[in-house]
Order: sequence, then C-alpha cells, then structure tokens
Amino acid sequence: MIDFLSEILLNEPVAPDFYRMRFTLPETVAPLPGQFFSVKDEQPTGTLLRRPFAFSDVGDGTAEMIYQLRGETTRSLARRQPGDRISVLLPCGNGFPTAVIGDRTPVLVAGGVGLGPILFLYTALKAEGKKPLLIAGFRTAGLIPHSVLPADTVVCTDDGSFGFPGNTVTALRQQAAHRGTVLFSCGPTPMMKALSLFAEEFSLDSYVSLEAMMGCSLGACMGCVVPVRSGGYRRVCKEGPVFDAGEILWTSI
Amino acid sequence: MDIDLKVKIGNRYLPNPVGTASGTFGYGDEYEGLYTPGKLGAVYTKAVSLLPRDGNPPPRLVETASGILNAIGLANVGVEAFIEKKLDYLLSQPVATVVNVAGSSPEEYLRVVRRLNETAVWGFEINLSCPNVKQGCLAFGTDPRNVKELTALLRNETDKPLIIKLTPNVTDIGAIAEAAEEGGADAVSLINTLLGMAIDVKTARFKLTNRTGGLSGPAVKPVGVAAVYNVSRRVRIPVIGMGGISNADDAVEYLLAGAKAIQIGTGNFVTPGLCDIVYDGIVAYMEEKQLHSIDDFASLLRDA
Repeated sequence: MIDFLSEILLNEPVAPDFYRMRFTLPETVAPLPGQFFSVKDEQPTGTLLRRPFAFSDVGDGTAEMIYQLRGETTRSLARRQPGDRISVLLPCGNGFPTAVIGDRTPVLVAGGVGLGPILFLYTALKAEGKKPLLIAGFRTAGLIPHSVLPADTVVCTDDGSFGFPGNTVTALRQQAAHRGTVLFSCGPTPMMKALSLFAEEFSLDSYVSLEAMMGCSLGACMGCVVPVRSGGYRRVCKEGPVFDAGEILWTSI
Repeated sequence: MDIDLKVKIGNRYLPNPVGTASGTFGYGDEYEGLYTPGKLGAVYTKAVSLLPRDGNPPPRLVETASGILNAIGLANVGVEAFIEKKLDYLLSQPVATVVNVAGSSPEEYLRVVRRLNETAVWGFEINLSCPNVKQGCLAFGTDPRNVKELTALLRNETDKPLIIKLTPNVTDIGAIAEAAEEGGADAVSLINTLLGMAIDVKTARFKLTNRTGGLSGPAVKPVGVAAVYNVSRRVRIPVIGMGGISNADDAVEYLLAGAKAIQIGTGNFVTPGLCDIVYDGIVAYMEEKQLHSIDDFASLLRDA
C-alpha cells in the first residue's frame, strides 16, 4: 500500500453529474479490476476523510476513475484541473476473481456509477481474449455516458427512454442462455440483491463489488463492514470490495 | 544538541512520545510500509477482549463536521487469536506494543491482562471509556470508586506499565484520573471519544445503527487539550494525550498542555504516515526551542 501524490491528467464530464478523471500512478503499482483507491484532495474540500473510488482503467503509468457528483468531496474534485495534485492511497482491496471464469462467458452488469470497475474488468477480459457481455443500466437516456461505453454494451434505462426498457436484471433474464455464465456486478444495492437472487435461481457463480462508507480504507478501523451468511461481518475495504454474492447476508443490508 | 525523546511510564520507557490510538491502527500490520517504524514509539492496539466480538451492525461510521462518529462496538479477534495471529508481527517491530484491553466485567479485564502478561507485550492500556457497548467500559470509567478498584485489581496482576484510558463523558475527569492513580496506574491516557449522535434529516433516520457513537477527529481537539491540561495538574503520573491530532503542531500543543506522550487516532485515516510527520515535527520543535527532553515542554507554556 502506498500513499502517492498523484497528478491529475484529465478531468471531464461524461454525462450529467458523471465525470472521469485520469491521474498518474506510481511505477510499482499495477491495480487489478475491482480494486480501489482512496483519495484525499490537496486542496480544502470541507470534508475530513478520504473517499474510496474504483479504478475504471489502468495503463501506461496512469489510472482512471468514473465518479458521480454526490457530495462535497466529489463536487470539489470536479473543479480540479489537469496539473492539480491529489493524494491517492492504493491499491486497496481485492479484485474480481477472473481465474474462476475458465471457459464460461463472463456477464458484466453495471448500475449507474458502478460502471467504473465493470469497464475496467471488461477491458481486461477483452485483452485476455474472452468475450464478456456487458449490461449497463441507467435511470434515463440523459444519464448515459456514451463516450466511455463499449459499442457492444447492452444499455438499459429504467424509464425506457433508451435501449432495453427496464432494469439490468430483467435484461439479463431475457438474454436466452444463462448456463455457462459467471456474473460480475457493481451498482446500487437493490440491483445486486436482485442479481444475487437471479444467480441463485440459475445456480450461477456471482461476484459483486460493494460500496461502503470507509474510515481508513485499509482494514484497520472496522467501519465499513457487511454482514455475511456465515455469521459476523467482513470488511468491504479488506476482504472486499468484491465478494462472492452467496457470502453476503442480503436480508440485513 | 542532545535530545532525549524517551518517556518513562512505570518501570519502562517508550522510545519516543508518538503513538497510534487504539482502534485506528488495527494491530499494526495493515499500515506496514506506510510509516517508518523507528519514528512510531508505540502501537496501542485495537481493543482486545476475552472472546471475539463481531461489533455493532453497520452503518458504524459516519463523517461529521471536522470529525467522525463511530460505533464499531469493539469488534476484535479475542485474546487467544490476538496472541496466535497478531502479536508476533507487532513484537517484531521496533515499537512498544501496548495492548488495549476491553471487558464487560472486572473478571474479564483480569483474565485478558493475566493471559497477556505471560507474553512479551510492553504494557497495557485499559479501556474504561468506550461509549459504544452496552456493558462494561464506560460504565466502569465514569465512577471513581470503580476505576480505583479495577485499577488496583489489575495492578496486582502485572508489573508491566498499566495505563488507564479515560472518557471525557464525565463531570470531572480529574477525579477519575486521581482514582486511577490511587489504584496504582502508571499513566492515564485521554481522551476517548465524546458521545455523539447524527440524524439524516431527509430520511429522518439515525445515521448509525447504534444511534449514538463516539466523536473523534479535529472537532474534539480543544476538548482533549483542556482535559490533558486539567488532568496533568491533578496527578503525578504521566498523561498521554489524544484527540484530533492531525499534524505536528497539534501534537506539540498536547505536550505543551502537559502530556508526556501522544496518540494519533482519526488522523491515521486521513494521513496514513502521520506518525512520521508528527515525530519529525516534535524533534524540529525541540531543536528550535532548545528542549532536551519531553519534560521540558510543559515549562514553556505561558498565559495568553
């Protein structure tokens, strides 16, 4: 784990309230899809703690994230210019377990800003020669970040204003063959809950990347836990953020 | 110029006054590579109880103005797993391993201390001040008679440094510190978190499942400095100060107020290498003011 003073290379809107930021990485770090980093702005933001964000791309000594304007930190980040500095603690957590895929088809499901880590996974799987199916859901057509979506993405909108009319789980259900697929998802909790039920129904392996309010981002404070079926809790920052969906006690989230 | 950073607590010396507050630094291993071991004098561990504890249901942590409110609930692996899985790493580091001990009865505190006294831990910090669990801790820590009795009970069990960690959620923290001293404590550490609450007005829900939590971070620093100032004038044993230390000046402020050592807590979350920065800043301050030892700080303090 490194606390690195990174330089912002690019910071631009990709959809209303959605931005992408590219920044420098230390040479020694090669983050995996699903891993995250924790940001502290060099300039005052009015907030105290770091904020965790997933990598949406990594390469050539740089990394990218897609973030949504939600609070003071993200609104402040959106004002930063190329050349500004941010402190990034990285790499945090565990990536998606791509080794389990074997010769099955990876189905990647993203909801809203959960698109970030799913895009990174998509790129990495493509590079491995796999043929991932990417399903991305948004509330409405105006929120779709077309510029960052691969051309073969199955886009869904809740209000039916673009692409598949309905949510990602319904879209997945209508994709004929579920057999021989592995699910990887990141998005709102209700989406991942519904996906995990779907995965149980068809006995599919399903991995989810969870979001949580974090204190330290590195496993020390025990603040970001989720309840698990085997009893007790797991730290999203340390044992996660990617979990086997079957491990999570969804009824308590 | 000769600078002596050592701090005597009971019959032992901390290598320097910089420590990490219990609950913010795990058992040390999570921060490996993020700090310079020689600059961190002591790790005050995540609380260790007799049996493992899952802690409170989430959400457990929320940010407030210049602070955080937490209700972790002493989640920890329990004393046996601590010894088996966590202790070796800490003991391999050039830091004083001070085990923070939590319990829900005097018997539980006693058994944890007795078990750990057989190991090479440097000393004990007794948590009489966690606001987030229903039994024990705070209930003991707010009554001087209980504090004195429990301290005496544990004093009888160990010759290692025995530090009593105090809550600010009392009318007179000095009286509690005096009780710890009378019970045989080697030092007191303060302040633990302040009892707080946060409500989401959009949903009209408590932000923490536990409803209340402990407030820490820069917001509480003036409370901590005042408590350290007051307590250090009521007891002869060393006072270890904490609460909102975010940079070297904050640590120096505690030393000027009367602390002999300090702990960095919430600041670790923001700046994982903060103990290095604080160590360097304390040394630079001592050189600038020509101080030879930590004891010299308090004599600098002047009226406004």
